[in-house]
Amino acid sequence: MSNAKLSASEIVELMVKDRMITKKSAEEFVKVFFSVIEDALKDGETVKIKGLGTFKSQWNEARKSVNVNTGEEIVIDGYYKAVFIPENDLRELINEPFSHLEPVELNPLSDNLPEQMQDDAEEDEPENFSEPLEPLRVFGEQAEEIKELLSEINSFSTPKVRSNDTVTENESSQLPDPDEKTEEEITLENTPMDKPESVSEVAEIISAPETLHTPEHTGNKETEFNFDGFDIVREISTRFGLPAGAAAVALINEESDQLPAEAESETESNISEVLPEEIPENTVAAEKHEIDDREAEDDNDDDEKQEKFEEIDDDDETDENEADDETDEESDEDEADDETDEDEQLIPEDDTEAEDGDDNDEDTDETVVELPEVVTQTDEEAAETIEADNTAAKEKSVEPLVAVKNARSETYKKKIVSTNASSSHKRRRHYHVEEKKKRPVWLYTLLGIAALGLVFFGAFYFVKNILDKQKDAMYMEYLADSTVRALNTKEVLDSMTPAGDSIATTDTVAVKASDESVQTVISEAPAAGNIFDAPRNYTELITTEKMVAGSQLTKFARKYYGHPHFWVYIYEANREAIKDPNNVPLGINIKIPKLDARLADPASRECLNYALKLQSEYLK
Amino acid sequence: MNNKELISNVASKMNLPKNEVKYLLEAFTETFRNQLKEDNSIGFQGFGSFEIRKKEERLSVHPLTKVRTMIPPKLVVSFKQSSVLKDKLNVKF
Repeated sequence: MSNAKLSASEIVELMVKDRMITKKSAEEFVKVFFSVIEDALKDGETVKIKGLGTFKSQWNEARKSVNVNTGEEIVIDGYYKAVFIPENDLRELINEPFSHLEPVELNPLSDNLPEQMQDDAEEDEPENFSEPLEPLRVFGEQAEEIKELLSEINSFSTPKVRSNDTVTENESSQLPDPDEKTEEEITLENTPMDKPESVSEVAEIISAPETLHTPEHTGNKETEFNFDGFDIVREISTRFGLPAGAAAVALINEESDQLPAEAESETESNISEVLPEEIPENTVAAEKHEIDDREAEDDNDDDEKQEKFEEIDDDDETDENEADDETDEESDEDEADDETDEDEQLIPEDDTEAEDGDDNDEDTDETVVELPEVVTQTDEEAAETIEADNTAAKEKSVEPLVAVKNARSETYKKKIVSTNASSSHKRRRHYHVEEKKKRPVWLYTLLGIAALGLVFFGAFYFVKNILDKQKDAMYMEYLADSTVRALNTKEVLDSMTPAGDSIATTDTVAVKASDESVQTVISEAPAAGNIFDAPRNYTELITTEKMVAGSQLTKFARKYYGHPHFWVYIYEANREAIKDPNNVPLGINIKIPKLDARLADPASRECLNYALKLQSEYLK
Repeated sequence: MNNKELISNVASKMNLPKNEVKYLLEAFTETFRNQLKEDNSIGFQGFGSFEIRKKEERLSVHPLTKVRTMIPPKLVVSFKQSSVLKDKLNVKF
């Protein structure tokens, strides 16, 4: 390796050596070669030479510096610098001695360091190993929590379907039995002795399949259960012409296990003369059904029972007494009134329940919607039949005891229906209270979110409207200020538009004119703020240049604006003539527009960058 | 300006056929490269000088990953423009 400093002449000599080149031509070539590059660099062009690299002219920004001797602050003006970027080929050739070296991701400054790094690596590994474990553990816990949550959610949602299925299955499997039995029992029902038994049996039978599920499921299911029960009531009542009350008694018995049972027992105790044997059976049966619900409901039931029987049983007992006596019509009427009053009181409750039920699924909706109908029907029927029975009983006062007993037992059933209906209502209310307690948490959060969303939307549109109005107002002010004339003509023309098409066209012209003027006004406004955002009008020209061989837009830009980057503005001014800025047709006259000094300042980096940005846009 | 344009420009100025200029250019670049490879610095009067410089090895630290990387030494071509060229480039209009 020599470290000689070669000059151009030495290069020429080496060039000529071993080649069929005259020294003269080689010398001239080198001279011309560099002069061409020089010219190109002057024009801001880059020169790419195969096998060597790229020459280009680079603008170095003016910067502040300090005079080393005096300590004064001085400004070094920006200047162009010719830079050479060697080709990759040349770079690799030059770097051959060190080409085997590659960047190493270690610290090879000392021998200890690699060991430390190894230690670090060893330390890192267990860290890396242990770190994923903790997140995994956390993930595991989270997964478990999520599972629990899901199971909770499922327990809320799926039982509806399940209970439906199971209930229907059980209905399909068990319903025939009650039907048959009721048939049998209805045949026997002519004798009042058997009625309570049949009623209780129906209650047992129908409650049997459903009590299987009652412990598992919650309020929703129980409303469905009510629904099923009342459906069965209808079925039974319609099929066998049985007064709805009798069937209802059976079914409501399951709903309000205790009350009807006790009601029965009480009423039976009233009729204990007739039915002494049934009492223990019924109570036992009732108790069996009650076991699940009883503990929770005992107190309530007792209270309710006492209250109800204070209210109703008084009437019932008196009624029965009356039926026994077969006399007072007034008390019967009172009783009927009372019951209708009860109906009136109950119906609103049903309404509220229906309203509550609207929030629930369709199943519960149906139940809640249908329930009041059924209940009111039964109650009304009960009331009617009671009146009828009572009157019948009065009429039949001379007739045999069996008929009286029939009537009595029927009336007693109606009363039980009414009491049971009311009790079931109360119970249902109770269930709904439970449901209400369960629902709100998620229901109200959802409602709250929805309400918030609505509020936000409302606020957003309100604000937007206000802003739009303001914009419109501003725009109208603009219009008023800048294009009063145009607007006037427009208004006049607007008023005359029905006259004809020609006026309409002039109208649109006027509108366009006004819009244009507005645009110019708007576009000139920001010009004061940012010269780059303003649209450029190339109305004033410095001169025109004719494109000849070798002339370039960058050369013109350099000549007239001080920097080749500003060729983009010449291109913009000659858009019609120049289609491709890389291929400007020869012979055309190029307009050299007068540019704002702030726009084409070769000393401003901002200007140059903006010009470069435009260049990259135009040279896509 | 690419290689072809350069050749045509030089050819038009020298009144020589392009292929001849091309041959000259190839001879020049070959010589130039060889001399640079020999670690010779080449100066062209009025234009600038080319020389080989050794960039010393250095330690670079990645600012985000803090990975320390040893950058090996390397040889690069450096061009320094002459003051004449600088003046020519910065002629005030």
